[in-house]
Amino acid sequence: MLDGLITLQVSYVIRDEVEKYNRNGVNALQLDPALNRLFTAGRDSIIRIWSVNQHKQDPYIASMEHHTDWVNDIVLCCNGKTLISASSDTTVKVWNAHKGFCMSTLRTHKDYVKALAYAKDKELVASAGLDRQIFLWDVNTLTALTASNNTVTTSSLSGNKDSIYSLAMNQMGTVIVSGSTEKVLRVWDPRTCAKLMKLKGHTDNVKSLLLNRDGTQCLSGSSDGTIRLWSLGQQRCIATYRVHDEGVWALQVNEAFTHVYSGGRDRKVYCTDLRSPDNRVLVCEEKAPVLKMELDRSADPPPAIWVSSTKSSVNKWSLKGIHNFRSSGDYDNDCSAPLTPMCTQPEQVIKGGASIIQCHILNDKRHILTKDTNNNVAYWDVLKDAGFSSPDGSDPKLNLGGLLLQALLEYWPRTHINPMEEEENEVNHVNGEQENRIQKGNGYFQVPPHTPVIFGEAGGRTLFRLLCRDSGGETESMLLNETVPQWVIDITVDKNMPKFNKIPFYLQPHSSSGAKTLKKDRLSASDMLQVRKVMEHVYEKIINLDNESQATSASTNDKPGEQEKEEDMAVLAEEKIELLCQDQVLDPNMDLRTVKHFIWKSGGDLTLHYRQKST
Amino acid sequence: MPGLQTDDMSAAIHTPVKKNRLSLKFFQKKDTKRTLEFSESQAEEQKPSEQEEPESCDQVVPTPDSCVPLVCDKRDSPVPFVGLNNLGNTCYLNSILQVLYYCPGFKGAIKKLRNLSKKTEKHLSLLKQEVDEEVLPMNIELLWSLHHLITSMEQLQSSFLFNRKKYIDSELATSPRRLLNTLRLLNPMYEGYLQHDAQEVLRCILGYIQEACESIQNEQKIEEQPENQAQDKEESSKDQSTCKRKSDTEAGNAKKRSKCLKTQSKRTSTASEEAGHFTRSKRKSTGEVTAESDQNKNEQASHVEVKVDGASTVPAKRPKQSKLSWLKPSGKQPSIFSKFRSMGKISTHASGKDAKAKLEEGDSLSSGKDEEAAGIYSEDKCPLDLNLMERMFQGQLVLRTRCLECECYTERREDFQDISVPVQEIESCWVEPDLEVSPDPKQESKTLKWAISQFASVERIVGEDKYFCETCHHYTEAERSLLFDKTPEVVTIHLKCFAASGSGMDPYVGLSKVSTPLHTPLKLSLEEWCTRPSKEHYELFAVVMHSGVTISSGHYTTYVKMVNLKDIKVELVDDSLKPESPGTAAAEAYNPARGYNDGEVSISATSKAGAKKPSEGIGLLGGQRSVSGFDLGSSKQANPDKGIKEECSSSQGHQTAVKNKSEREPFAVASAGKEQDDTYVENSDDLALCNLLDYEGKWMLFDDSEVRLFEEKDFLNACSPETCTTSIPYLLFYKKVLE
Repeated sequence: MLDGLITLQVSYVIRDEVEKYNRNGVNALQLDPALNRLFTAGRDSIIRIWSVNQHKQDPYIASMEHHTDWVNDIVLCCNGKTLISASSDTTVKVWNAHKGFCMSTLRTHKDYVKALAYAKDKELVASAGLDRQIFLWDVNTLTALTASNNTVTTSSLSGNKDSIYSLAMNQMGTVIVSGSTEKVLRVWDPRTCAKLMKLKGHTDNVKSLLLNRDGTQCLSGSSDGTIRLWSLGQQRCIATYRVHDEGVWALQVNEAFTHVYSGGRDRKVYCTDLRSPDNRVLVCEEKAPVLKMELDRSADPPPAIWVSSTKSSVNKWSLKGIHNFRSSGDYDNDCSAPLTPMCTQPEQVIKGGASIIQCHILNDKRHILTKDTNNNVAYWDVLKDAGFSSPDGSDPKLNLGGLLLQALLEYWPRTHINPMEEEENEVNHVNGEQENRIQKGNGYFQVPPHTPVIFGEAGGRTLFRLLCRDSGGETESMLLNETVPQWVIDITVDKNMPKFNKIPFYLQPHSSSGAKTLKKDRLSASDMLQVRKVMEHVYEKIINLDNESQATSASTNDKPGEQEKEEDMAVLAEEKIELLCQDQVLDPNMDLRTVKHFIWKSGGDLTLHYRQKST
Repeated sequence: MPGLQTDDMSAAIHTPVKKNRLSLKFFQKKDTKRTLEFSESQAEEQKPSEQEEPESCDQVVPTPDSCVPLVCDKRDSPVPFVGLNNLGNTCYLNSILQVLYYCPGFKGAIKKLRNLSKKTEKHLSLLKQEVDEEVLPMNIELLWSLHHLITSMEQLQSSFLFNRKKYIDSELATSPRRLLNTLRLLNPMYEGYLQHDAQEVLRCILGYIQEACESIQNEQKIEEQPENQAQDKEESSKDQSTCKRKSDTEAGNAKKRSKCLKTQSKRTSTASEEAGHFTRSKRKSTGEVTAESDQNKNEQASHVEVKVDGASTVPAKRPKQSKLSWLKPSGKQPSIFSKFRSMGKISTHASGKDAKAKLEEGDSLSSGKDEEAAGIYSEDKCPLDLNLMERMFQGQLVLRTRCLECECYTERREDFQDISVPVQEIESCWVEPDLEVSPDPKQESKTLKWAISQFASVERIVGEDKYFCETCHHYTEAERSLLFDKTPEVVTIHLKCFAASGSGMDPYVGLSKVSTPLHTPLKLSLEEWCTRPSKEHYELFAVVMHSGVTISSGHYTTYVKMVNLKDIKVELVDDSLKPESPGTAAAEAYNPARGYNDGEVSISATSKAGAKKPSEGIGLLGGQRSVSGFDLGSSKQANPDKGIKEECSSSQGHQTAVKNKSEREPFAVASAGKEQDDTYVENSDDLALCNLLDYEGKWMLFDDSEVRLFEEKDFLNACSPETCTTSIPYLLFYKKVLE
């Protein structure tokens, strides 16, 4: 698992323990008619379960959190017992839909997994994504997977030349269709994995696909703004529907395959009669581009449709009027006239929350400014918001990053220190409080136990995500052993904080002091060393030495109060002398690294000058 | 200056380039001397300068007779199209000039621009008496050279059509000597006799014309600017504060008290100069001010005075050892003069030569400032004529990046002058020289459409390096495409025929030719790659061919399709009395919808400026006669000249050449067959035109001074990759056609 070439990074999420609202657009929807539940697959990486019983005050039931990027598609299988999800974190996950926990993770895809397809009769699921691959999964095999028995055989359908954005399989599992930026539909037989045909016609990406039960007809929605009806038997396009002004991103069809519901970039949802395309009805107009729709199939014709968009709320729109309207046949056939939406108010709304749309990391790498969709600006402290409270002011010698890492993995048994070893390890810690430290963590602070911790490749795939408190679990512990990179082990298990970087520098009297340049001493110190300390050094070792020759007795008298003397020394030093770099007087609070980067600026060794204050 | 011009022309024929340039300088010096004399003895000055002015405009008077007969070549029936003499590996230039000459609208545009610059020139001509030609902005000079060449080509063609006999033994060609010289001054790269890239020289010439347009535009802006006293004050006070010279204060004050013209000039100049200024300024004010109040007139007069004052210091500087020039930096006005200076500066940049020496250091310093001021004025509006070049040759490209998730796109725009397209797949770019003889059978020849789609190909941003979409706030896949937003009247397609073939050779020589040319279609549509649908399509009208192995060797020739020949005004030399109304033919030819109005506007403009036309015309005729007389005297080509002169007089009655040709069609056909035997015909101009019309739709091969006729079929064969391997198309020129 550990690849030397790929840097692994650790990240964590600052969040509430329960995130009740979708915080971003919703990419996919699934209804469980038996339990009256709606599953939403969010761009905030969380799949949420909602109760759609109208009378319930709070529709939120539970969250399924395991993905680390957009969840792009979900399908409910096994009569609602199992949920399968596809995500931009390149994984496909299998969930127990009733209890809401993740059963297994499939990592065969190499890029975003964009689409899933499900054949109910065969309990077969297909996944496809930007890596141009289609994988077929037997759901019963997937649900039988355990942590130890985690091998699964899959058949893959290859031949796609471009990124796949949509996928459909008929209920019988005899035909599978994929839509891609190649602009063609490719058709396979999932039983034999044989290529059946290629259907050309669209002029842009195909973003949505549907198949009828026996797999003889196919509907496709494309970014070119058209919906096309294809006959797979004749291998051709039977009809083209130009309903939308912009790309068609979502399609739904009734059981009889006679009426198509379509939504897309133009934010409108239309219902179109496939046999007489002029019979179209504008169902509703959303506030943002429509990403997905789900028909309430509790009755035929469907009484309502759920619509999700790039906004975080999900709306249920009634379809009741439409069917009456249609049967009466008195609708306006004039297509040129702008249609008025049948519904102006959604029947039900699942409220969404705000999402962060902009962030800026401040120069101290500790504070972050963010802005969300409600235009709220927030100021975050990545340590304090993770539970850090400074015990004794800010000690510049504390490696806060190291402490944080220790806190994040404090439940992981491997990080726990055997009391036998403790004494040996003590050496590594500078601070005197070491003795009283508790066995776990860093001894300073704890992060909230619900904090998600994510191990991933830098800027790439996620390897492992867990909650802070779960790292004590057997499975998690084992997985951590496989995942945690060596540099984290060094800090959390071996307690070896990274060494401070030493930087060499020269210390010379300032030319104005008139003192002759001493021999060039090359000094070396931690780059975290404060200028104050250097000043002390100067005062003590150089100035005082000079003075000592004149008044030797003074210093010897002060011997008893060593500690006090040290503090005095610092105060005295700051009173008496100042340090300069590039002729700029240095703030005693600055550290050497800052001086080097912001004042010295050039290559070569840092040179500091000291002089006595002219007061 | 005209004397200089003709001398130059005749000198050009005899002497190689280098020497010629020396002689040019020599003349300039003489010129300077003369002008110096003028400034000192102003009584004499008045008359010669009056004469000189119209003459300075007729430098376009061609001297075809003087140069053509010198090149003798035995060709039986030359076609009535003018070739260009090779001045030592200048086929790269000749090929481009032929394309430009036949480029719809180009001739008209040059004439229009030149007329506009002439207006400017009138102001300058005042100064020109003192300041020699070299200080003339070089890009304007290039414009004039081009115009000169075009006129001489036109007139040579006309005179040929009227008297074929004369040319039976000779080649119909002129020499682009003056243009080449100007080009060399502008860009020293073109000195010597090296072969150059035709595409480069095209860009170069168009670039300089563009610069000239800008100069003229700035000029006009300043001219249009009402003489604003307050602003002048501000300007002069600025001068005072920024300049360190004593006399600045003087100049500034003098300006505010502009009415005390005489006292001021007394203070700043010698007595003789003062008188000169006065007369000049007077002439100026009468010449230019039309409906302004007396006060305005006064103001303007004072301005002109100052201007001239400043200018006169330039030549005066040398004899008087710069003392005077330091005394009079009063030329820093926000006026034509300052513009003149700044243009001088531009030319200094471009040529890096003589011009600089003649500018005072102080003034060139201040000119930068003035240029800035001028720039502010020029931004608010731009006359249509002046962005003709831009409209003709410049289009706009859009780089569009579209997120595949939300389908939002971002755009970036860029101007383009030509489309450089590959002629083969990048993979097979490394062609061995051996393969040139027998091309790889795998390399099937590509179409131009393929090449353009390579240029405008859609690129997907996928895989590891995704695109961060600002709308999705996510890394997504994206498509990047290059589209044409605005297409120019003339699309230049540059076929990248030259591929670097390493092997440690001289990098320039090492660019060897790729032997797989594209199929060249006669019609082209760019709609596929346009941002919006259009009904326009393009028709091939010229091809620059290259034969040879590398970019720095070989030979350039040009094929041009002859169209709209009926629009060519075949006229005898004296018909040039009535100068061709600029741009009408051109405007009709290339864009009736848009171009016509512009044409009309410009016509009215020229007729307005036509107050001086008759005198100009007379000067022109006189110039022409004197030239031929000179030729007679030199007894080089006595007979043909006589011939043309006789013809001139005989056909003076026929003013316009274009008549209803349909009537004469049968006759034309009949006469076309035996055109050689045709002797003197009464309706010589009609006949001439009819002869010309025979070539409508035919292709001409211009190979320096040699011009040959090609049928379309033969032309296509010549361009086709199958039939011709030695000479392949290098630059394709398509013109816009409305359906």
